[in-house]
Amino acid sequence: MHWFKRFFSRRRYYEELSESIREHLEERVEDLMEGGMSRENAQRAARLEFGNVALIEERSREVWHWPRVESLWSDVHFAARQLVKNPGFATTCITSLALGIGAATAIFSVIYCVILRPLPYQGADRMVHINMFDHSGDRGYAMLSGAQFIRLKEVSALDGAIAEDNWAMTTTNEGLPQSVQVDQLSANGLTFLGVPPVLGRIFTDSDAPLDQEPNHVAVLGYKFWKSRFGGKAGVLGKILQLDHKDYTIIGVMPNRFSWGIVNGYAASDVYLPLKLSNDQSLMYPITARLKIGKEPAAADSELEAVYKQFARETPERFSPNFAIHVLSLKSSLDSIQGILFVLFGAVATLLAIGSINVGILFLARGVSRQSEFAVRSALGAQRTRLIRQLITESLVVASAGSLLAIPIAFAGTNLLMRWLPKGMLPGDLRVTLNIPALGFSIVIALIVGVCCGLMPAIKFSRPVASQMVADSTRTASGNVGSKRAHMLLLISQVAFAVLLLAAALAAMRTLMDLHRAKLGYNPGHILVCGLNLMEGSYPSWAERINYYEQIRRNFADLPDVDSVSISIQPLPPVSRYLSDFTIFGRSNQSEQMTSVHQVSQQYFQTLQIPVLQGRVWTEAETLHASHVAMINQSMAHRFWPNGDAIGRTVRIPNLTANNVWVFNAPGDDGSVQIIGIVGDVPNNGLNKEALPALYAPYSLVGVDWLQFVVKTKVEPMTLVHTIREKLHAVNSSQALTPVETAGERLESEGWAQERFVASLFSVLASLALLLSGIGLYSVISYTVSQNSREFGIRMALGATRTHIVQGVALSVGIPVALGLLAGTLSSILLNRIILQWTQASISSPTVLVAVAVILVAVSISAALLPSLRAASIDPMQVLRAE
Amino acid sequence: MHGYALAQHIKQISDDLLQIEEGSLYPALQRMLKTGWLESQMALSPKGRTVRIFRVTEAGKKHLKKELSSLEQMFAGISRVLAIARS
Repeated sequence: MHWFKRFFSRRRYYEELSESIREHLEERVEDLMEGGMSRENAQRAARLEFGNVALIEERSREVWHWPRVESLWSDVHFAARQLVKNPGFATTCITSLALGIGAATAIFSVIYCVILRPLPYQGADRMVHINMFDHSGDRGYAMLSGAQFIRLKEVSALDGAIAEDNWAMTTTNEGLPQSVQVDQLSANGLTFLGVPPVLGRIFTDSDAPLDQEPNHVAVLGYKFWKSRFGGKAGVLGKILQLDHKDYTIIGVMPNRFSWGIVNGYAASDVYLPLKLSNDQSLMYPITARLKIGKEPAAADSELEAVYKQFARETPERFSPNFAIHVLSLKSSLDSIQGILFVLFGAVATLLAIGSINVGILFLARGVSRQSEFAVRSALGAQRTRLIRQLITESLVVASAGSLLAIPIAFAGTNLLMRWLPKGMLPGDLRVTLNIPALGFSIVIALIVGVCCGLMPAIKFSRPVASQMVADSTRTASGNVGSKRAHMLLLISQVAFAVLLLAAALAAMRTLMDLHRAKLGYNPGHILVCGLNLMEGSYPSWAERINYYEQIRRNFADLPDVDSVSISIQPLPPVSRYLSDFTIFGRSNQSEQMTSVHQVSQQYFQTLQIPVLQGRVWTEAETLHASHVAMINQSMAHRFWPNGDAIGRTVRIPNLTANNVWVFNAPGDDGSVQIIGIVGDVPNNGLNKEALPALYAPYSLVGVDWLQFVVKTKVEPMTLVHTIREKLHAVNSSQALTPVETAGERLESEGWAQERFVASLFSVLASLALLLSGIGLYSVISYTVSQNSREFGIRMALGATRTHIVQGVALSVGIPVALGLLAGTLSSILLNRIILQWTQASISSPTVLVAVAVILVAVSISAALLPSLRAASIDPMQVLRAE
Repeated sequence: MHGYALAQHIKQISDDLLQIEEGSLYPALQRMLKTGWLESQMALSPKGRTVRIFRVTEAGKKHLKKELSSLEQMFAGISRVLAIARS
């Protein structure tokens, strides 16, 4: 830090220098006086001998200077003074950049946290789910039995694998029974995932030795630890009783750990070591990590060989002709990647509009400063010096914009956080400002700054002498070149704004279409609550159906309840549970799939799904698990286009018990006879056609999990407590899974994402409009102020105010019209690309017309004030000023 | 030695052959101060006035040695060339 110290002791050096010179002179004077000169003469002679004291002092001082830094500093200083002197220019430039950078960073931060956020697991980018695709292309987990899972170690492409079993269990020791999501992981599971616990330890291989009952230890998920144990450290060593078994709590996972294979992103509540069973009927989904440098395709072929071997050993557990594919953990994000791409484009467009604004303003200012540059270069300023100063000025603007962008980005991120639909964010994670993104945007801003500085710098730093003379008496009315540059910038700005506006309007239209879409059911006043049986309870088909019916009747007895039904599959709009099926007396078509819904007969009444043909099965038929079914209209049209569906029999393998925890109804073989047709209800998302669907009595299989769908007469959530009481009247240790309403489900599964996208686009488009408005306004004001003399003279020569306004309007109208044209054309061109990812069409005529109307309105309001100012010019004053 | 004395000294010992202009003396002194070959402090001049004197530092001496040796080599070279020219 030698130079640093020197910088601050410079003043001392200067003083010492002056002192030395003074001593020098005094001594010389003394010497001369000793030689007989008078003091006056001696002083003169000494000075003459010494030379120019001030110059020598200055030269000596320069030794201590940093010429580069200091001239840069003076440039910055000058630039700052210039900006303060032109507050309008400064504010517009800085706000444009700040808004652009801030919005871009905020949106990127959200996108990053929601979608790109790297998973916290060790080697997460190499982690894959092993999937099995059957002959019809349907995908499912390639499940393995315990013994088979252990043999996966031999697969050389894998760097470890885990098996797991995710199920809900019920707390049984303290307070009300609570349903908790339990992830039983093979003993290596938590070590494999590689996230250290925040408290205590994780379980390891020694907690679950092979072929032995695992230790009864539990690791808690962060949220569960917070909600059930108040986040207390004393929880370690305590007993958590699940389904009447005691587990010692040994650790707590951190918040960012949100592993839970079944729930997708949602973390499980409790992690237990899994007892790998050799029972071939117990099979587990597998997650593995590929070795570094292993291609998924290589892993696929190696795994497929192993799985084919397994299939030869237990053919009944594998579907014929399957294929094995590993899918990266992130592949579930594929569906939103398109919208992400479009959003990125939108953000970049906004940043471009902001930057263009700055460019326009700098160019305008460059024109008006031409004479200043001319004078300076006439006085000896080098061209590089002028360019450097202009670049410094633009960098000062860019830095100020970047600084202002930081709080905007923070505020924007927080605002977006509040809008973010529930369920889009994993766990309780907070979206935080993405610092690298902020850095990136700032770098972009600085680059824009340099370009904005360079453009006028190169143009105007070589002033022509004649121009200089002319300019001293005549403020430049802009040369042809700069006018053309202006025009181009304006056109591109308007075109970008058109694109963004079109996207925003299209997104809003999609949202409105979704809202207007015929639902086919009534989601109002519907409460949905599920329950899980404890392992081993109600161990027969009859006991289970009895138990469920008893609870159902108890709920139905409530005075505020209209009807209660049972459904195993989730409610619309996303409820597909695809299964292949065969039609009796017909050869199998390929890809013959239907979405299976196991419900009680009240389901159609509860959700008000219209019965179009035939009849609904009766309560007695539910209780006896009759082999009957209803199908939806799509299925009827698809497979029985002649309208002869009723009376046909189909066989659906998924309507039989396929694991040890559930029981077949007596005589159930998966075949059912179609007795009625109901209207279509969205089952594959609101924006997609309903898939063929088949409804069969839930009682065909004595399942261990289902949900009650309750139509209430009052606000559904007010009944939660009463319903829980009614449930405990049947079984006091039965827990309910979290309760939601059909409306909430419709919102989170159907509208939320589209609404989010639409609001994001609207914000972006409004900002774009604002910025382009500002850009237009500043260009017109600048033109008016530059041409005021011309206007004055024209008016003196007889032009009316209307003529003047017309002139101004034309100067805006042409670039706006051309921009509109360019934007519309690019919308139509880009539409093809965008349509690949989203359904919003940005080239529909309604959207484009609306865009044009909005843009023209904005342009008119931007042009209004400056044109009025132009019209109110007093010709006398202008002429006097000449 | 202080500035004035330095200028006088050089003049004297070179029998007025070398004259240091004040215009180059002071900037040179500042440059040497900056690189650390000199240090300055207050002291009494031979005439009894307090003056700022400059002293050669260790680094300065080392550099001087280097400069001297390269100067000597240069002189040696020049005289050899001249000797050839004379003969």
